[in-house]
Amino acid sequence: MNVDDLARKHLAATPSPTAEQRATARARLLAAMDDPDGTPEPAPRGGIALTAVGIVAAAAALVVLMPRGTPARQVGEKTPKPGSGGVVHSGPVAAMRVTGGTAHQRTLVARAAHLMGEDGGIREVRIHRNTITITSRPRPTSRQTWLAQVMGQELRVLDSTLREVTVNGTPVRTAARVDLATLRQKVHTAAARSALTVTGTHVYPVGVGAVSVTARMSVRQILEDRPLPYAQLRAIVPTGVNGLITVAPNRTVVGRLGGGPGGRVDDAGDPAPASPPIPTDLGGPTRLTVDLSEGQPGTTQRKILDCAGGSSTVTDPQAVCAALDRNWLRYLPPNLAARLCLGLAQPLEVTITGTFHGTPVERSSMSCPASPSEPDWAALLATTSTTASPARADGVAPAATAAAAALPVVGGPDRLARAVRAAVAAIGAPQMLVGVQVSARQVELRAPRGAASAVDFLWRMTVLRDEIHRRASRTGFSRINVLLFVGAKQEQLSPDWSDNLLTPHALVRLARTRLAGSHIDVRGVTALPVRVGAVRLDAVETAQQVLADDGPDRINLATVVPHTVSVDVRLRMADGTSLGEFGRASSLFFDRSAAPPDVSPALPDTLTGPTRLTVRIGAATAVIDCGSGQSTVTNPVAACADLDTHWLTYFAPQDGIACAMPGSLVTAK
Amino acid sequence: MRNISLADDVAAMRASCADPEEFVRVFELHFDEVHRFVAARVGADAADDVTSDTFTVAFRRRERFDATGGEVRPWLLGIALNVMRNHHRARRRWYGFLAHLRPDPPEDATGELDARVDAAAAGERINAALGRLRTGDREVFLLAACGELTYPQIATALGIPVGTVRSRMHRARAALRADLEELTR
Repeated sequence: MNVDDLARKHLAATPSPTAEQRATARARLLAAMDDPDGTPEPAPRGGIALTAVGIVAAAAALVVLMPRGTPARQVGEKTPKPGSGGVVHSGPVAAMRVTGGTAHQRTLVARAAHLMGEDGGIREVRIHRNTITITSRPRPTSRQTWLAQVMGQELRVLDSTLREVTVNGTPVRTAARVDLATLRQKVHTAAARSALTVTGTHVYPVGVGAVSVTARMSVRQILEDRPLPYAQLRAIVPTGVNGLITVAPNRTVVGRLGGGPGGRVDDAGDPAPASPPIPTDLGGPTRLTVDLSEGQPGTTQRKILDCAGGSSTVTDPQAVCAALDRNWLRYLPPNLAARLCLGLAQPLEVTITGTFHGTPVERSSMSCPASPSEPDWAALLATTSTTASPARADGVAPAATAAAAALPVVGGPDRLARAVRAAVAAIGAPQMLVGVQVSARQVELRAPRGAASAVDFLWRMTVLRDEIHRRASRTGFSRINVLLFVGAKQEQLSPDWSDNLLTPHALVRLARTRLAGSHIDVRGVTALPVRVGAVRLDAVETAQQVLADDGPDRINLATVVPHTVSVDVRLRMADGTSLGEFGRASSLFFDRSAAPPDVSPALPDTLTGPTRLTVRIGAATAVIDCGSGQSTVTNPVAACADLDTHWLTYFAPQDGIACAMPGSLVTAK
Repeated sequence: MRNISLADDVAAMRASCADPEEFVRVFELHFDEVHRFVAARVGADAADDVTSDTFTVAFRRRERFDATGGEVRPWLLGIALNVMRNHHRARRRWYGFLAHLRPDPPEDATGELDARVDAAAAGERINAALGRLRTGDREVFLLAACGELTYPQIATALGIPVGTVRSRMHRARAALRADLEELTR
């Protein structure tokens, strides 16, 4: 080995950055892109392409489409509420907790919060000397994030001794004071002249400048998904002033973009947007081509939906068309953030092209705030008039809370111990463990010696490991190492982590949708109540299927959920005879056949053909012919009877996945 | 769905001059690699800041990128090296190279560790040998061995002639061979 290889091998152990590290760096880059200092020299050439300053101005604008019937053009500003100056607040900042700092600093925080006049979704403001850390409540809206950023900026203006202010970990940049009267005048004048359907503006009474603009977008505009007219927005909000864009055809907000020197925010608006009625002037046909895929070559399925009576490739076009009309905004969301959000790799993809009530539409899933979802579309296209009453035993498994409460969880910070206990309850198998040892850096799961004999032990433990890691991260312990000990021996778990984007209910829906074409009867799809993604399938094979030993069909069962989701397939026969269990725990495949019963299940009457087998054992060949008597064995009658009685022993299913895909999988013992 | 491929990076760099948002594509393409490259030198904690700063600096200097004949990766790694030198957190580790070169172990990735047990066993000696190299020689060697850059790419990254890259590489290899003779046999 040469020195190059030696060094390369040694340094190759560097881990890849986590999604969290990537997201943080991305946020910092986007913040830097919002910084006017980030404009390269020489300045970009003209045209409509945005310069860095242009981006600031563009993202700084705010468009809020108000409810229909809202009085046009409400221009004004809210009256600031007096600051309480204390730690406990009322009104829009009631839930905000201020800790540390001097009385003067806490007063400034209260003042800045009240100047915003709205709930910024702030959970805590921590002051330590000349540093202020602002933390939002879980899942803040983009509007709340934006308000928190503006508040952070205002604090820097109010207290020039502050060295750093961060909002959810992102530093807030300093901004110059603006003259409020001038800003108000500029905004009002620009709004009046704008070609946009501006229905209101709001200038916040903060020194750093923060403006919102209200406008309206028609259903047709949303369907056509034209880029927002940034030039017009830029003309309303002056460069360098904070702003937010919110778009909604009615009371439903379908998207927000915002930013400025305080930072950048964008989201998809309300989580379940209520679709406005389709205007009567949209009278054309709905004809859509939908490509669904799991993001891997060869997995794309094309579906044609023709609501005008033409040929469709979905089961019940009428039911699908009705469901689409009722919820069109959910299935065809406008990608308002297109310019701020590039198409990034995503495990599930859907592309929709065609016309919706005569309006050309084109959508594709992207990791953007607003984009159509593949599981949503897969479920929609599977809609039938009888979908409402599925006969299957599907659902999300209950958490074993009581049993988990009895499990000894020793040591560690309380928050972490609670997170661990909750994860143990969620995976539903506390009895597999005898205790958990917790410290600030490590969680040791202790299982009794015989625990590993359970087929699904490692599967559950891998899911538990991932769920503990996820819950620990959420409670501030992001570098927890989770180890599993069976007796005194440490067990190895999959080196990869689950990275699931779907809720348990969505996973169940997705799996059931994709099982539509399976030849194997899946009686139940059960998701564990964990966000890392874990699904169990209860599948039943007929004797004919067992004899046919269709490995690929079994593999299909393990691929009904995204490859980042753990899946456990329990395979049995209709009489309950277990055939085995296989699946995937994170990236680690496992496959374990059940021991055949002493007497095989009776073969069904439908299997009426002859039995003729050629068996090769080494160099010897024997023929068993139970019909014509052309056997070469000594006692063919006894052999045929034995075959019928113990057919499952002699024709046990192959180790389904492992044998069907040699070389690419690991078989768990 | 717009797919991003490595072939797009130069185009994205070029486009980012007119539309800064295009730079996000460059980030998405190269973040992991730059982060690993940095983490191997300054540890995972400091790597977050250094990598973040690298892309921020790259964004601000994007006009200077030579889109006609340049390649994005060596350009970014060159910036990363400069940021590492200047970064106050990284600097302590950079100059304490010998003690801190070993990357942080992957969280719970015991399987990976097992697979690399041979290299880990020799790790201390490799660290020491790398630490004894001249700074310039070490940078060239690491860019070639771990960054997998060609000599012209290294020259681009460090802003030095290709001939200098060759001579530094020769010196680095000779010194390492002498130091790590038993391990390379």
